[in-house]
Amino acid sequence: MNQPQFDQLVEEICAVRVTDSETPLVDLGVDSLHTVALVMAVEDRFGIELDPDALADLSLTSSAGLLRVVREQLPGRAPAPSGSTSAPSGE
Amino acid sequence: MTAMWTDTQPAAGMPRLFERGEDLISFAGGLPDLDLLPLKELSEQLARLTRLGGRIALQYSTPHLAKALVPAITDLMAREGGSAGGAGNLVPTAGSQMGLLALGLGLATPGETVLCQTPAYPGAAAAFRTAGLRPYGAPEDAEGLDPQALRATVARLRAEGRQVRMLYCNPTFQNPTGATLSVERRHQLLDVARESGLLIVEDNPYGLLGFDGRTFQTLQGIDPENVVYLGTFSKVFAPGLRCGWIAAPEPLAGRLRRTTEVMALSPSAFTQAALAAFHARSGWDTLLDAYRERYRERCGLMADALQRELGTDGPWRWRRPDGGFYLWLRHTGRAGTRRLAVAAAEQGVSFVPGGHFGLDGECADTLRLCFSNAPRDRIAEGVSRLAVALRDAETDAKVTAETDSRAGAGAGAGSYLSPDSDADSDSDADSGPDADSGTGADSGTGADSGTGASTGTGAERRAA
Repeated sequence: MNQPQFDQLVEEICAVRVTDSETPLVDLGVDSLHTVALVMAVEDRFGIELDPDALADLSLTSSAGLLRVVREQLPGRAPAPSGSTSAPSGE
Repeated sequence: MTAMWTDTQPAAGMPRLFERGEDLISFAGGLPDLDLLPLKELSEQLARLTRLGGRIALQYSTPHLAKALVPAITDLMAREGGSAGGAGNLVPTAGSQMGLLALGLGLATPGETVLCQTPAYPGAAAAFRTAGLRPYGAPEDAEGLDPQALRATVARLRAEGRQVRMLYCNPTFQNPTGATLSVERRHQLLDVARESGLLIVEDNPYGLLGFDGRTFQTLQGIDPENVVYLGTFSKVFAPGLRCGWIAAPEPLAGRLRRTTEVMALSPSAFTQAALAAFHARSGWDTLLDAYRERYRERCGLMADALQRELGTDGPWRWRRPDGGFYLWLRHTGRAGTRRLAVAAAEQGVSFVPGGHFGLDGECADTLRLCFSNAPRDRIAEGVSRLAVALRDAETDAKVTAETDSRAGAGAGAGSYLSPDSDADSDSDADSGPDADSGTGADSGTGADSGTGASTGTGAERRAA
């Protein structure tokens, strides 16, 4: 799943418009409980288990930051696409 | 405080609503059948919620509806033509019982009269009385709430100097009768409410439980600016989560939010998140269909058994409902059902005597049977036991006799439906136009009722 597709997932679950993938979700109007709902749906959708500590500050998570954490957990761990940072993020 | 379901009373006075022990077959409490809940899936989701969001979901929150839960509510309300509006219109509750008290406290002033569809859900009358309001039966005819007569009733009450601003009703698959108000009547009711300056309170726990999936346009959907809507997850999901909502015009929602904050500080974020997650993953269709099918089957079994045991030309009359949890029986010879409840308990079956649904003890010749949680293979046996008890009604258990015996019980004894203070307060002894004058202010007080905790409560009220 690429970033635009992931943004779309965020928009669908959180009922917001992701104008910039790096903008913290809270600044898009997503509250913390809604972010929890998003992360739960993401785990479900990707069949993975995310590390809660990597998501320690949910309010600062961005769509891009969350996708980076997801990619860390994906089996086979595909390299990040060029143009995006590959380091896992605790955003 | 006004007693409701759970006061300690003898079996005669209090149908043991939530007990299911021994060999008792309970047709009393309105419990959903949770065998249909997908528990494995639910446990995985709750574990996931705790692991990923426990520090947020188990924290205090604010008296606002969690945005994550809005789609689940929007979905439910839209199925009956309702409009949830946005988060600004929604107030989270711990179920509609809390919602009823909140709107009694937050939208009305003590002493005010609140019109109620009767027979009424006892929890509503109790909540209104606890808020210091005076429930009064709204006029009805054979088709239910009567809008034209309502206009006259409101005018008369106001001419008597009463403040009347709200009408409470449960228009779809009503508790306890199972009756549904026609859509035409709904429009007429709303028109009269507008003309008369009445706010409508629509309590709708069962609307999505029509056996054939049929729904009826909610009052809220027709006139969202003049209806306060009480929604709950208790019947479409599970009551143990204690989660519901009020949908109201924004200014009223704000007042209700301030009231609920005083009552509970904040709703359970965990519960709201759990429901949001369930809806996001599974939607409502599967579970709703399963509930509907289950209750259709149970209702059919019970109605068939009643027909076999009591016949259709005897003194007991009832209608097969099209949805909800309940069958409502009335005795044409006016047999008092409180006494019959004792006989039924002796036979090993329970029901709720109809007097509990009267505002002042009326409906004493009726009874409510709940089929929603009765085991499939026990319904016929339960109805057989019931029939043994009900046939005794043919002998001498008439309402009048029962009322006479209760009159000697002494005022102030524990009452479960009416506030104890009714017994000695003229002003609160409101009876609707259809009220049975023979069952007056002593409603709900069994002759054999002990002088339990509620006697003290009554004294407190009188002293206050």
